[in-house]
Amino acid sequence: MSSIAESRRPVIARTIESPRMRRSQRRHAIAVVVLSAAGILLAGGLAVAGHPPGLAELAIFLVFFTIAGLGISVGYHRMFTHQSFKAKTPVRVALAIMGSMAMQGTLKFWVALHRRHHEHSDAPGDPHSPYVLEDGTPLRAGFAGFWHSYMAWSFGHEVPNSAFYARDLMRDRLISRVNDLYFVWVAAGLALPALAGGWIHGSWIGALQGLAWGGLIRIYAGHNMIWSITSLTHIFGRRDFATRDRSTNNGWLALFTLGESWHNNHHAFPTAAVLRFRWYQFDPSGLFVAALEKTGLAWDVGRPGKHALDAKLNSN
Amino acid sequence: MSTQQQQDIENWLADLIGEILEMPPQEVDRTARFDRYGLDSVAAVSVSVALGEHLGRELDATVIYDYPTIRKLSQHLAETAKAAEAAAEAQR
Repeated sequence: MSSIAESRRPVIARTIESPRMRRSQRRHAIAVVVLSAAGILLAGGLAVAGHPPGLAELAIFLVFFTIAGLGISVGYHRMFTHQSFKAKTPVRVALAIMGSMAMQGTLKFWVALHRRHHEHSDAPGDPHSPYVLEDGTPLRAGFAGFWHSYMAWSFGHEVPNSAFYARDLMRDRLISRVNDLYFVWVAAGLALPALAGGWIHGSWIGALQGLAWGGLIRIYAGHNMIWSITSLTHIFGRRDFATRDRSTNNGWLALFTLGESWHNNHHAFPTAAVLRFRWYQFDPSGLFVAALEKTGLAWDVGRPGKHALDAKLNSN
Repeated sequence: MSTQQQQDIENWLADLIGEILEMPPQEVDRTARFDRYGLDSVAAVSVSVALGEHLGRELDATVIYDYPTIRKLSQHLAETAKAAEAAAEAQR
């Protein structure tokens, strides 16, 4: 029972007006761009100085891209944001850490922003729609819309209130601790590939290669993985299902996005942990969840049944 | 020494945080640090924004970090309420 009269009950806002938080978000977006550019310059400089990337760099890049990518796709997105499956605590912690390494923001921030995106997809309030700004201003079709939904949005979006959108995570003490150690995980995501490169080559140059390819460029590639979803899979591609938004499926992006490009599937069934609704829809993240399930590390895996799928099919 | 004003602010904060955490206000520990509730920096700022609106005062963005428990924050705001009112009067 509340001790405060109903008319004076505190209202928890969806977004907060905080210049400080906005500045913090903008600084983070700038940091991502700066680190990405630094990675490209470092790799380029090393190449020019007689150390072009080789198989080791490719391997380090792929390993860390996959680790961070699964952290975002399986962890941040499917498990934490949409609660599409349950998992044992060590798996939850691991996925939260892996996702943090992608440097796309803390878990709570990412979850809050993404839940807000689903609440307002392609309508006023959507932080990254190609069709409309968050404040409702329509965007011209073509490059302006693409650019906003691809990357520009990350510099100036509203501050989503995690106390509104991510309350379930607030109550999880352990995950909250992991959340708050965000910069430790980001740093680890740079240090580990550097160590790997240094160890493989047995040299400082090798460590720099690892840092450039497995750390910095990998962060940039991971951002592009998500930015291609926020933009391309709301513009081009097939709409198998009728949804309130303009989400689409794009098979050609499936490998790069670890299965997230079945985006129309996702908006139609946000609690589906596996996005392969048709036999040919390659979904690496879904395969990872299925593997966790097989080993007893995950359960209650969301898979919409045939009736549910048929009911939502697009008639056009 | 707890004044009625401090009590009111404490109760209001316990109510708000109880609502966020979906637990009864009585169970919210008023001497625990905000980050122990799992409030990240955004949530903490949202609490101070809502509180400022409720009290009709502009609160410094840092107040929630300088007084990081319900008790300390309420105490500070109750103590500085007179000064804040005087400042507001002077501006009218």
